Amino acid sequence: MLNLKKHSHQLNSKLRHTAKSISSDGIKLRNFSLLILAAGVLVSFFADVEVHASEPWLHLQLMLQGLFTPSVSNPQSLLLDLLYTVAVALIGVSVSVVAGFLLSLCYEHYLVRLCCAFFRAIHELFWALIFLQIFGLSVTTAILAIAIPYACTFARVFHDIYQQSQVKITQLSQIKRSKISYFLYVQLPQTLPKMQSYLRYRFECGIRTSAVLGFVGLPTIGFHLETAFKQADYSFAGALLIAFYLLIASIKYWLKLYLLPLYLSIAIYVLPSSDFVNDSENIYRFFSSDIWPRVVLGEGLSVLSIIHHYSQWFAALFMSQGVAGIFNTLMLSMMAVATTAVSCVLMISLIASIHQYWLMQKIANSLLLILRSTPEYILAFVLLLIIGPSMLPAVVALSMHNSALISFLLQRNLEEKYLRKATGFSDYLYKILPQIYPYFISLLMYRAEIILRESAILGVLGVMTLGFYIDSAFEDLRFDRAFALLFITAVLNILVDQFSRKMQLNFTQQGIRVRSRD
Amino acid sequence: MRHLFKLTDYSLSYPDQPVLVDVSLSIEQGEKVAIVGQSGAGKSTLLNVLFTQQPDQSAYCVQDRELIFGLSCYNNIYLAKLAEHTALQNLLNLLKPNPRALQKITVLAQQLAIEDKLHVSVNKLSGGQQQRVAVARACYQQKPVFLGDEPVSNLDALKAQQVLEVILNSHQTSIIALHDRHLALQYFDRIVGLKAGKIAIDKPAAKLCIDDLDQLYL
Repeated sequence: MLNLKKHSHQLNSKLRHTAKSISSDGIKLRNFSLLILAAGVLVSFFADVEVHASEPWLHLQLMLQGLFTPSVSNPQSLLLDLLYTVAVALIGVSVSVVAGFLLSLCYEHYLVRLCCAFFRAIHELFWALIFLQIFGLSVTTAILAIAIPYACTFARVFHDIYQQSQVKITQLSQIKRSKISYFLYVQLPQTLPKMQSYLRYRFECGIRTSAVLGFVGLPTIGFHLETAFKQADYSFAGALLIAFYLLIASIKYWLKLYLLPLYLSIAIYVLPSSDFVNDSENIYRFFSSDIWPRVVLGEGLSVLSIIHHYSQWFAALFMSQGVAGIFNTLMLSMMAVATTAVSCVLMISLIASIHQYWLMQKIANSLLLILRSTPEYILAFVLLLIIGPSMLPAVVALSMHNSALISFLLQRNLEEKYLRKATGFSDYLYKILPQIYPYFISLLMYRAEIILRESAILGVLGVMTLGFYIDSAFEDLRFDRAFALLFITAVLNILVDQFSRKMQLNFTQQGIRVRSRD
Repeated sequence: MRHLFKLTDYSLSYPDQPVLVDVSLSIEQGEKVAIVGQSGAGKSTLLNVLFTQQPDQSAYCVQDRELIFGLSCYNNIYLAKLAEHTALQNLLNLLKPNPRALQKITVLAQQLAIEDKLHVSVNKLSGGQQQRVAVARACYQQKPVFLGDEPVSNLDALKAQQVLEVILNSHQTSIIALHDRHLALQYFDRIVGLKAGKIAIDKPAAKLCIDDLDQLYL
């Protein structure tokens, strides 16, 4: 009798404990979601999100017309553009995967981790702007702009992958003594498939990045895309975009890792060889004098006075441009994260409610595919032409691209759980949403860091984020300012990354898994 | 003769339930001991405890095999001697098998009837084949003692006998957990029967019959 009482008491406390943990998790998620939304709405009162263009609908109509009536006057040059785009991506990603793999082996080291975090935090386009000053409009610039940040990303993701696959070998404890052999025989074979699939995904990213690099003048498809849009040659722009989508969609058919050596040799052969610039004098001058303000370059200055002068100069720059840049970058990111969250929830509900209509679902899936294949930068560029210069096009572009990507990943997650059918809205609210919500928030936090990176870079298009000040500094040949502002951008990015990673782990135990899958 | 393994009134319990209760057991060099008993009777735990007494002398073939998916059978077996080669030799062996190791491993694989699978990735093998790779890895360590946790449970009767013979012939001392009472009686000198963490039987195999062992499973 006593035993039974004790048992029921235990059961009760267990139930209460579970109920408490469910509700507290739910409340935490709800509060956090509301916080994201509130921050986005609050910030939008202070931001410039107005439509400045005189006839946005007319522009949109003309562009859509162009997309449906694609025309190419010179197909050969279009093919060459595509070829260059792919070649730059192939070489850049290949260099970065080798470097990233080597870095991943010593990623435990604090310095390696710090350097990777720092280099990764600087967007590929910023790297391109830096190398433009050294190597000019050359293939070297394009390849380095991809290779450096990608190598650091590979290092981190590969390291995460090793961490996840801790293998137990109880009977052979002595093999752990040789770290290299243990890595070769135990860790690497288990993780290789994941690393390969991540490499394939990175090639796709590389092609997108390579295309965007054309916007700063490098010889990839983005170059002609920018010109076509600016000259309102929408039929040509449409043709370029369609060619780009076909290229992205076809990747899975031709990108076989065993064919990589062949592709690489073709890529090196195809790219104009005179473009592989290597000017050591330029490099030395750039890093020894160009990127430092004049106040610290005088003869006979002591180290202390250099530090003193530089910090004074830096503080002045920080107050005049840094604060405004950081403020605008964060505002844009917060609005983008909030709108991404809302449009994700809407998209998933839409997809769940049309599951029985085959055709509609195909259309929805293709739209998602197109949106997530289009780089944010290109979306923002086009929207800017339509809506005019404010934060609105940037917010729309960021949330369109990211919500399409998150919805795609969520949908795949639902399919894994065999949970696609919702018979009505309440069904969706009670059956589907709760199942994926923690994963959704975790994905959103993971994208938040990328949204911040992109928010900064969209300044190059004229939105007043950090990228705007950096781009202006480059245009004025004030490399000292550009360098200092890039430093600020990187630090901001690292801080937000730390925060978003913490939030991811807070809401799901799968934080790391999410990141390395994508 | 000196004791290779010795436990005196040994008990072990997980937070909510005892696993081994007052176990006293000593095993000498040259013995062939079968450990029988229901699932959960404490067989694996006993083997784990024994392994900690002679970790350098024993080749331990655990139940979940611990094979490295993505590596070929050959390399999974080679893994046993990883620490005896330099990192460079191990790297080269991944690119092209070391001829001496390959020869030895091929002989072993022939005895276990997996020689045609040597260069196939282990995840493409059946459960029984994987089990024999795990046995081959343990044998390739060439240790005097073999500790096996149901190393033949996934094999048909004939293969199980064949594999057991290879194990017993290549080790001075063998301690193997088994479910198959007939195999235990046929191949081992001594049988230790566990029931709920206690030693219920510890006798020479010759003095036991199948009914005695069946008692453990009631």
